[in-house]
Amino acid sequence: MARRDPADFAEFVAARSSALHRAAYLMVGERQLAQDLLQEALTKTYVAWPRLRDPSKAEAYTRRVITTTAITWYRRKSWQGERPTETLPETIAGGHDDAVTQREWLWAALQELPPRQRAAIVLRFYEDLTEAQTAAAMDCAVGTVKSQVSAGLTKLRAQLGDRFGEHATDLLPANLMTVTP
Amino acid sequence: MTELLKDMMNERADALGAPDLDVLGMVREGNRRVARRRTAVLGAGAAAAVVAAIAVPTLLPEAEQRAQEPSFASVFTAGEPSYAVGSQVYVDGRTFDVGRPVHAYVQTTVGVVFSDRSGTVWASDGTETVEIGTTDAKRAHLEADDSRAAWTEYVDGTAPQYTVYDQASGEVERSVFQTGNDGPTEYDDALLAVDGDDVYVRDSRGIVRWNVETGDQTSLGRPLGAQVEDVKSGVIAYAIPNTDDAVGGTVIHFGRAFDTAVASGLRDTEVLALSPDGSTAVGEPTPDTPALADTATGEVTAIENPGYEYFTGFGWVDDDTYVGIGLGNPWVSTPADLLECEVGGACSVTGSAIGTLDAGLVVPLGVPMQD
Repeated sequence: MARRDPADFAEFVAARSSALHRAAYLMVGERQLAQDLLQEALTKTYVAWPRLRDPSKAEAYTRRVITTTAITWYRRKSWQGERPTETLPETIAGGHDDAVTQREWLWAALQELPPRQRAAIVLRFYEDLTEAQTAAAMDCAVGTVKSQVSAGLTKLRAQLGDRFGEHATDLLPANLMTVTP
Repeated sequence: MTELLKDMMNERADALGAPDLDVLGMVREGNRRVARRRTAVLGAGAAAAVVAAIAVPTLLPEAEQRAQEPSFASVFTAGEPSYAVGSQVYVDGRTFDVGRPVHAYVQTTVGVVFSDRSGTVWASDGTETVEIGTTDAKRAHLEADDSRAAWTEYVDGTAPQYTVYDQASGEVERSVFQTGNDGPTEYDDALLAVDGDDVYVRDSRGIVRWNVETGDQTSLGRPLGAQVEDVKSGVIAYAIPNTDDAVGGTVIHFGRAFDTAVASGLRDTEVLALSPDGSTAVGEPTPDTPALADTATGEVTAIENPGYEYFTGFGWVDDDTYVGIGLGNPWVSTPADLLECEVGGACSVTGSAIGTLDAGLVVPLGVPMQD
C-alpha cells in the first residue's frame, strides 16, 4: 500500500466510498455536494497515499479531509450566500407522535447547526467514533469535540422543545441527552 | 434524543444511493497535483533565494489571517519535507512560528516535536505550540514515526525516563530505564527508534522493544554489540563492529531479527534512515558518500551527488522518495538546498538556499545540526 498504486487506491475506493459518502452527505445535507466533497477528499487521499500505510489510516485520513473540507466549504459558501438555506417545517403533520415528521424536522434542524457542531454530531453518533477519533477527524482538541457535541445537542433539544412543547420530553429522554465519553 | 438522532441519520444515509465517482479522474488529478507541487516548490525555491532577505518577514500572516488559514494537517499527514530556521518551520511552501528557536526536531504525521536550547520539549501542529516535556539540552535526541515522537527525560537523582508522545491523541507514555538487580549496568541509556507502536530503547537488558499500546517490553539482547540505527515496518537497521581488523569501523546489517540479518555495504554511516516500508535505507558506504541499500539483500547502490560539495539523504517522503540536503563549503555559512530524490532516479531541489547552519537551519534528524 505504500506506493502510489492506482490499483490499490481503486480497491480502497470501491470498498469504502459508499460509507464515506454517507457520512459526507450527513455533514453537508446535499447529495451532489456530498459527492463532490468525496471526489475531492479521495483525490487528496491519493496524493497522500504513500504515507497511508494501511487501509484504516487511509479511511481515517479521507474522513478527516471530508470533515475539514466540509466545514471550510460551508463557511465559504455561507459567506458568499451560495448555500441554499433549508427551513424547518412550519407544521407538524400528524402531531408529535408522527415518527416520520419528527425525523424530517430533526434532519432540517441538524442541517441548521453550525458546521462544526453538525460534523461533531455526525462523527460521534452516526460514525460512532470516540471523542479522540472525532478530534482527529476534525483536526481539533478533544475538549473542542466535547463542547461542539454538547452545544449541538443543546441547540437541537432547545429547538425541539420550542417546536414540540410539552411533548418534547417524549422525544428528549433526559438519560439519552448525556454526552458519552 | 441520541437514539432518535441516530435512527434519523441511519435512515437518511441508508436511503442514499451509491456515489458516482471518477476514480481515473482522481488518479489523474492526484498525479497532476504531485507534479505541480514539485515544480512549483522548485520554482518558488529559486525565486526565494533571491528575495529571501527582504521577503521572509512579510510571509508571516497577520494573526487574523493565520486563524483563517487551513491547518497543516494534510501537509504533515502527506509527509511533506520540512525544515526550520530559528523559530520558523517551513513546510509545503508555508511557514509557521513555534515561538522559540528550534534546537533539534522530528516531524510526525501531525506536526513537529522539538527541543529548544534549554531542553524543553514542545509540540506544534502549525497552529498551536504546547510544552510537552523536558530533555537534556546537551543530549537532545528525538525519534519519531507516524504520529508519535519520543525522547528521554533526565531528572537528577532518578533513572532516565523514555517518554513517548502521541501528537494525534496527546497521550504520553513513559518507561523508566531499568538498571537491573546488580546495580549499574554496562549499557547506557539510549533511545534508538520508533516504529509504529514499538519504541526501541536500551537499558540493562540490552536492546528492548517496548510496545506502547500494550505496554509489553521484549528484550532483544545485544548480539555482537549491535547498535540499532533505525527501525521501520519491523525491519531493523543496526551497526556491529567490523570483524576485519584491517578495515575496522562498523558494518550496517538489516533484518527483522538479529539472527537472520544480512550485512550491507554501508559502513560507519553518520546518517541512516529507512524508508517507511523498511525496504530501502539511505546511508553512506564510506564517509560523506551517499548511497541506497536494499535491506533484503544488503546490496548498495551509489547515489550520484547532484552537484554539492556534501550531499546526504536523511529522511523519506514515501517509499520511493527520499529527502536530502546539499551543502557547500564553508559548511556553516553556505546556504543549504533541500532536495527530493526518487529511488533510482534524479533529485530535484525543493528548497533552494533554505538557510545556513549559522543562522539556525535545522532539518528533522532529531538531533542538533551542530554542537
